[in-house]
Amino acid sequence: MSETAHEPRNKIAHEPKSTFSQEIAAQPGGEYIRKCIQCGLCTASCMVANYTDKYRPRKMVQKILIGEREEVLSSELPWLCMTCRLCEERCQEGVSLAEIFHVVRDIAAREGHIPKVFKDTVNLVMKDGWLLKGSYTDFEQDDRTSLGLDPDLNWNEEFMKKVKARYFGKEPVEGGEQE
Amino acid sequence: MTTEETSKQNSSAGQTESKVPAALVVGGGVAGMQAALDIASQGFKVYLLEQSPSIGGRMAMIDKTFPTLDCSACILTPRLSETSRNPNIELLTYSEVKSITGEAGDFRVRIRRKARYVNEKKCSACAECVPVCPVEVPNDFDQGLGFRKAIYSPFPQSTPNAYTIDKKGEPPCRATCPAHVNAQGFVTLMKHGKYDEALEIVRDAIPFPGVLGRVCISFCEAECERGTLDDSMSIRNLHRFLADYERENNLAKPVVPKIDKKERVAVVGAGPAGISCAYQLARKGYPVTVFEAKPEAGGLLRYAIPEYRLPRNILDEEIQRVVDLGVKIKVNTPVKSVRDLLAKGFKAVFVGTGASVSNKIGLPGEEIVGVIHSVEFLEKVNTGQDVKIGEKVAVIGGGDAAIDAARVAVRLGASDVTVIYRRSNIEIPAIPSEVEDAKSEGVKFMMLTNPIEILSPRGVLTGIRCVRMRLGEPDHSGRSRPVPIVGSEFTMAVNTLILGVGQSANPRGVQTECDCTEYATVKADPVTLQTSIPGVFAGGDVVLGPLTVVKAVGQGRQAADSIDMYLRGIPFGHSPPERHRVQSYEVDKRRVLPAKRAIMAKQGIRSRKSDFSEVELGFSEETAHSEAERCLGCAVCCDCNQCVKACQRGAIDQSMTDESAELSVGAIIIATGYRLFDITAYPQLGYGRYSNVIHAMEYERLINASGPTKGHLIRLSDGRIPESMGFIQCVGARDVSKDVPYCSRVCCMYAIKNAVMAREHNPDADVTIYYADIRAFGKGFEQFYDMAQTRFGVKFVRGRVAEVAEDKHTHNLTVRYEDTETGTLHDVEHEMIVISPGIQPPEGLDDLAVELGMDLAADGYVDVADQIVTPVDTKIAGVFVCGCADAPKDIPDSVSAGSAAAMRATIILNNMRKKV
Amino acid sequence: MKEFVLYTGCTAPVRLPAYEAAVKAVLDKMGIKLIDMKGANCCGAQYVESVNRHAFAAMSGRILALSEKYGHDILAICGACSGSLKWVKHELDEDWKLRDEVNALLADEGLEYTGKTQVKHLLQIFHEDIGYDAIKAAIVKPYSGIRLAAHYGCHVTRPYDIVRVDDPENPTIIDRLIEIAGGTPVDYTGKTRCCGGPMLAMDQSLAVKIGLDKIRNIRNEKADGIVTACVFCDIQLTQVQFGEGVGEKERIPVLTLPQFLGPALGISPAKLGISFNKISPSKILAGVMEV
Repeated sequence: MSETAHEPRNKIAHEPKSTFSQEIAAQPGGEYIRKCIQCGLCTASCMVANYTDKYRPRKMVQKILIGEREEVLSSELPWLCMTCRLCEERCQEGVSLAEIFHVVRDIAAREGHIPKVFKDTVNLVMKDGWLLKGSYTDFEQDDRTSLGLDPDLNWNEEFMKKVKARYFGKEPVEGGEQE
Repeated sequence: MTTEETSKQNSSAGQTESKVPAALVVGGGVAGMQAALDIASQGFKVYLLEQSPSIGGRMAMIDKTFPTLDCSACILTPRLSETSRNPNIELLTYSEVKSITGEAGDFRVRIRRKARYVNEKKCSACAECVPVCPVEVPNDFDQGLGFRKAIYSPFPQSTPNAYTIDKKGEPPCRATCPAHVNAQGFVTLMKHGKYDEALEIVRDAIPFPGVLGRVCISFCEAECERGTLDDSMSIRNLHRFLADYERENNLAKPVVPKIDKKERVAVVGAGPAGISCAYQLARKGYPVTVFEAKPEAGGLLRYAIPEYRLPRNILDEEIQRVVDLGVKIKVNTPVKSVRDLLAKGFKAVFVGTGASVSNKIGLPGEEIVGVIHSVEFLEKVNTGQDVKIGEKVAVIGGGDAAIDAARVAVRLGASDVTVIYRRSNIEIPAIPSEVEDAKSEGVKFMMLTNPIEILSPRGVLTGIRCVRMRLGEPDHSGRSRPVPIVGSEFTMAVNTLILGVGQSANPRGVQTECDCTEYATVKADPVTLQTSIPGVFAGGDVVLGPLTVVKAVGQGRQAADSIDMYLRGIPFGHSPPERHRVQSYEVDKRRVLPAKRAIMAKQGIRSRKSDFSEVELGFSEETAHSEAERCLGCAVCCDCNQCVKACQRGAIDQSMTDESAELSVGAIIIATGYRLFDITAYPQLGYGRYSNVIHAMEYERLINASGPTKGHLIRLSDGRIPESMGFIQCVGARDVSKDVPYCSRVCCMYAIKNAVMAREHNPDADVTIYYADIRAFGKGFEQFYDMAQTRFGVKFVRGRVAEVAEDKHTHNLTVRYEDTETGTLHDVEHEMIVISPGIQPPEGLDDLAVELGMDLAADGYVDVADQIVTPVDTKIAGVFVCGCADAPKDIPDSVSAGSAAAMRATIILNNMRKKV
Repeated sequence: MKEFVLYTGCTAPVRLPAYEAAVKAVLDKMGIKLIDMKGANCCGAQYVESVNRHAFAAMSGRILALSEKYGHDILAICGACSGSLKWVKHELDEDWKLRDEVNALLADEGLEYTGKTQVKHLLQIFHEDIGYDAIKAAIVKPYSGIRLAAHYGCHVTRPYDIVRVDDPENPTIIDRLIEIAGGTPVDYTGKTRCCGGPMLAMDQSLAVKIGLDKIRNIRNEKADGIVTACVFCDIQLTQVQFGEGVGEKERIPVLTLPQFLGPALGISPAKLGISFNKISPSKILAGVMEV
């Protein structure tokens, strides 16, 4: 009898697809991801999960644990976490979900997956030094004056240029379209 | 540690005396009992020590066991019986370990046996004492769900089958009172309207419930524990109410004298000390004669304290009661010599002549017209003599005599009365309420002022010159010495000057026959009140210097006790054993609602200034009752002795004291059990805030037929039977953020058992367990889990509960969870939520570990020497562990460990026996 | 007198200047001196934070270093800012390499982060630096019969180990202040839940649903108003009540904490910017003063 007759017909992969969970665990904040026992306490605490069926923090952690690197990094779901941290307060295994999603976002951004709104906002901050320069008009200035507050907000624009140069290269943040 | 090593260790212990091989088991739960029985049945002696009044531990609390659903009591109670009957087991319940020294084969253990106040051999647990006990406290055995009395038995099959009185010691009020009036006792009886019995308690200590109820300085109130919460109890006014109530309702029973002793006792002075001493001696049966120099009895109570504070009829009636008891009072009979009295046939004498000689202020002009000392002034007024005073009156001094004199001056018509005191408001010694009343009557207070000259150009008082003072360094009395401010002198015109600068004992009084101090006060032994003349005792102001009525009354009683022992020839003079004074932290203040102290109604200012009618009007019954309700019951048992009267076997003995004992044992087994994790650390689950969220042990008491609801599973909010229940797992276990990362091993199974019981109680109920894992690891456990689902219809949901919300109207609870099997989020309403807490090392284990010189593991459990080969040995030779003290365990495992520990211990005991 | 450097963040000065003014008025009355931080930059919360951890540390790190130059601790009145600053402080204290990297960027400005200053949120100032007793003593016109729901904000109270402001599952500081000022604090389902503000960027309708969840739970308890301690929470909880599903009469006024305390302390509504509140709190303040 030939050996091939004894080989199983479908090879079942028992390991995770990739070392993605280790990659996450190596970053600060991601250390305890592999302690997750999938109990669902985080999802039950999550307001985003409560109002949208597509978002399940427990499932996202599960995806990371089984190594679905591409799927997780290209998904918009990790960008939906509001970092309210109720899940972190309650997780009994010490899994820091909001921090894990931050790590995922960090990696995703580096690999070119970043939602447009995030990209645009980051670029704006790099340019102006703060977020609302464009929204600060005469009306707002008058409001401040009438309240006895200094209308000159005194924001520093120079430092952000250094930050941009150091961390984001000469060009504004590039990224794939993520809507 | 192998067997050889153990015997090597024992042989090196070097026992030279023959010791009875015995073991000590600490903890009377199922594991401890097992260990004790196994050691005893090999012929060795075992001490089984348990801190609660009964052995039985947790198994006595729970309803059913898993996985068999056996009735816990049915399995446990034969063990209780066996344990108590085994001739080799000595049960030491209601006891604690105090210290442990020595080593394996030769441990010395000092224990304290707490006083039960019930004779274990006489008590038949008939419970006749329970209905009459007036004290109710939360029932800890029922997890605080119900109440029990101060005299109680934890559960019906308590072993030993005797009741126990929970008495924490002496409450601060009683401990502070110089006359040891049992304030908590009478106040507690007042809560139940038992005024007769309450008054009896007061009269046990003092003959003056009405008198002291008006004039006592109330040291007790300053120490009252209620005062740490809002206001202290109005104790004095409450016993005044008792006396007034009896008078107003003509409830006084005739006093029956019982003078049956032959030894006659003489009392010199019919003041508070003398009357108190005579009263107590007459109650003991002695014939007493009181000699009083003045025309009437009462001492300063009659001759100094004004009538608006103490109406004379009250004083007369209370003194009459003492006379009715068989005491003879001879007025107008001064005594010149106490030795003469002894010669005349009195077997003992009590000298209570007081200290009523006014101190001189030491200024020239003290004798002139217009200047009078306060005590003389008050005596003249109180005896109805006509006293002329001017419009402008100055009173020098800050004590009660000065304030009394000032208020009397107002009533005699003076329009301008000023009290001049050389220190400040903080130091003024008069009773604060007296000062306040004086101020509202218009008396002016000039503090930090002192007279330096009495002005009388034509031999009649025209005024005084005073100087302002400031407070300097403390003097011999410990109070700041007032120092004159140079250049601040001023003159004040006055018609009458009343000097109340203190009193002293009469330097030529009869007490000087005994050895006296330089102040003419008697040198008496502080405990026995014996003077330098044998058979002569003294007390009150004549010993202490001018102080308080209650202290004099207290010393009168103290002297009566001494005289009694002296006359019976019993050696006396040892201080009575110190009773533990209840500490503030020992008083349970958790459920106290704020309530202000009752206000004493007083006569209006205008009407009271016009005559000497009583100013304070007394409490109404309603006020007295609601004031009595504020008492915290510090000592729990209030010593009212109602139980003593009810017990037909005379089994109650309130004089019992804690006892120490030393045990000599060769081996020690720790079987101290567990406590539950405090789940208030999870506020989002609502325990402690929502009434229908309970924990598993509360649930056990609810479904237990001997529990607070007699086994009816009902909601705590409204008593309805819950139609839908949720069980929440892994609370206080498997949680790194609460420092309990380990699994508590028993919660899955006990929750399944509890859920099954819920369905048994109510087959229509919807019962769900919310979990992350179900750990059904033992033999029969998997089947039990299966049976719970199939036969009993318990639902299991894989999804931990994140939060519990309450509907404020229905008190129903909504749990929020993700069903991890479907990924859907749910909000489900239940009528009751039972949280399954993880179990923890018990309280007090760390103290015990220190005594043993043992280090506990980081999680607080006993560290075993080797988990695999010596799982019941601790790291200390000769000390073993079983049950939950080293890790969470279920009942069968605890029992096995108990037998194992017994085996390990008897190896040592056997070697000891071989040596002997 | 205690002094703090005030870091307003990007949003408060532009979108909620009344909050800034009210903070200044109330803290001035309670004896706390505030110095406006000049030459500040965005703290990097939410956006840069998600995209580059080091850039985020540099941005918040600069604020921390600036406060060291001022020589005072920071008071952050926005929840997101206080969370970011505390988080980055924790990171820089633990990770020397990161700290050196950030300091390298700050060097030519003459700034350095050495770890000296502390970051406090407004609630800590009331609880720790002023104290309930002092506030109680300063109340001159207590409220009466007003039911108020406290909303603490996620970044103010979590993660507890880093921010250490109040119990994350059962916070009480705002509730106690409501009580001290004479109001009745109201407990409601989901008190610790997020207002939904951070979701506005990615999915506005989802953010509104989350915000309305809170409003519904608060309305269930018949509260007369909401008291907030974060810029975003205040704007969000106000704004969601202007969408569909909330009639004009049903809107519950939202007050920042100092706007609530101010009138009870005797400060005029003009100084507190009450007229800037989109949902008028006139009914709440009626008993206390004329609005």
